[in-house]
Amino acid sequence: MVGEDFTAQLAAAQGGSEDAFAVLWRDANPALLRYLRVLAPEYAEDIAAETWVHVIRGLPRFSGDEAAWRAWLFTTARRRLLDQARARRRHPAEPLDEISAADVPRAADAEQIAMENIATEAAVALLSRLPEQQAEVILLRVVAGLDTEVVADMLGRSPGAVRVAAHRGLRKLAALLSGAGVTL
Amino acid sequence: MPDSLPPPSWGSAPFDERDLDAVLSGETADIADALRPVADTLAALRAPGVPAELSGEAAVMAEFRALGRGDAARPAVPATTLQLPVIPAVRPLGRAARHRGRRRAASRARRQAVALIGIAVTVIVLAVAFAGNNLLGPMGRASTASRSSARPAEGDPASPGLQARGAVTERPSPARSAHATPSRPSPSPSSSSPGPGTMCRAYFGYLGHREPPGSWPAESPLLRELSQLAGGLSRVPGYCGPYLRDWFPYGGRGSWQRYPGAYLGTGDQGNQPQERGPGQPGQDGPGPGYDGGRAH
Repeated sequence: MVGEDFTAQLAAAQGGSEDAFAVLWRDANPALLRYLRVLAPEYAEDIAAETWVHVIRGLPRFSGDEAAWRAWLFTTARRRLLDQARARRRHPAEPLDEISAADVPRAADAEQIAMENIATEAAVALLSRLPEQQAEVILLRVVAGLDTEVVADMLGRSPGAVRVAAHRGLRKLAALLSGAGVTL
Repeated sequence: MPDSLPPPSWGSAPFDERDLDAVLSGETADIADALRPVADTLAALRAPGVPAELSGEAAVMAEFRALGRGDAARPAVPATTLQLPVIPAVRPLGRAARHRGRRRAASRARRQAVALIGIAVTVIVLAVAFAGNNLLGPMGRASTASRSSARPAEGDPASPGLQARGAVTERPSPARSAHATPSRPSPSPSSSSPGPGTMCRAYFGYLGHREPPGSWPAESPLLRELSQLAGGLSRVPGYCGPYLRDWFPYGGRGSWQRYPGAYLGTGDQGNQPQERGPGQPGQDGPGPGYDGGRAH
């Protein structure tokens, strides 16, 4: 999080300061990539780049605090994600049997994760094993730093439904970690 | 059973809703031990970015500059310099925008195709109408002429139909008949046949030199053709009357009614040509083989 300097950095970035924009980008891009790697691991980089293009275009018109900035950023990313998912449905990928085994993305194994330190990549891989809605709610709450009401507004659901989905996801995550032998 | 016994266990519930909310909020100080691995996992998700996640900074900054957000860093331009609005050379479109563009392009192409088809149909219709005026017009005139020859117009002196209807009201004078010229072609069965006037004069001229009347062979081609023109053998005298008018300048039809078929039935009182215009019958010109058939 940028913190107290956010307003000044935002104003400078809107005035054209590359340094100020770089501060905003360095703070938000890792979280954005982690969010996208869980939901669309093969297209995370592309979607993130498209998201930033849209953000740069709309930057002069943006007004709000850091929470609003993050909500705008992740809302933009989510729209690009949905567009990409629609495109994938219209143009399905080639069958897996035509892809070499080395190119097939592998889901992280929970036991392997348990043997390692819980690093960021391992956490992302673990979140990928959750149902998509539960994983998205947890990511928006934890990675994007949004509260329940904002997440509910983004997803078009009630705050109670968002809370229930988050809890279910955490329980399932705990079960995964418990099954992997992680010390409780 | 003592009351102090614990309730039966329905499964482990090592954490509750508050613990889950605390984990989501990053407050992990007082959470249950069962949630510790989960809290560690979420803490890893909150970790600062690694270099791999910041490798795209140069590209984003280039985009930032390209989209004109670096106005402050631009050198000032002289006041006299004309500044035109900056239009990005290539604006990467989102997928939705690209699909919208494709749909709009497709619908625009459909509208253009429909318009082109409409224009083509209009041109074809106009061309056909124009050609019809040029081609069908003469045909129409020809058909009108054929109708007038097949069914003579009202007042046509050579018209058997007119004679049959008794529309004749005036008998022309011989002098006028002698100098009259035909104004329209006489009906003829074929283009190679002589005119009806010639045939009439040949027929009645021959009869005038032969006695008794009626010796003309009924199967003669000339009489048969005249019968066809007149609508029957009995109508031949009435049909030929206008052509023979100069033969009988004073006489009524009694002078030629004595020839074969020359009887007029009831209602034929007006079976005489009507004077109309400059054209008069009887001037068909000599036909081959029938010239000089005029009775004196």
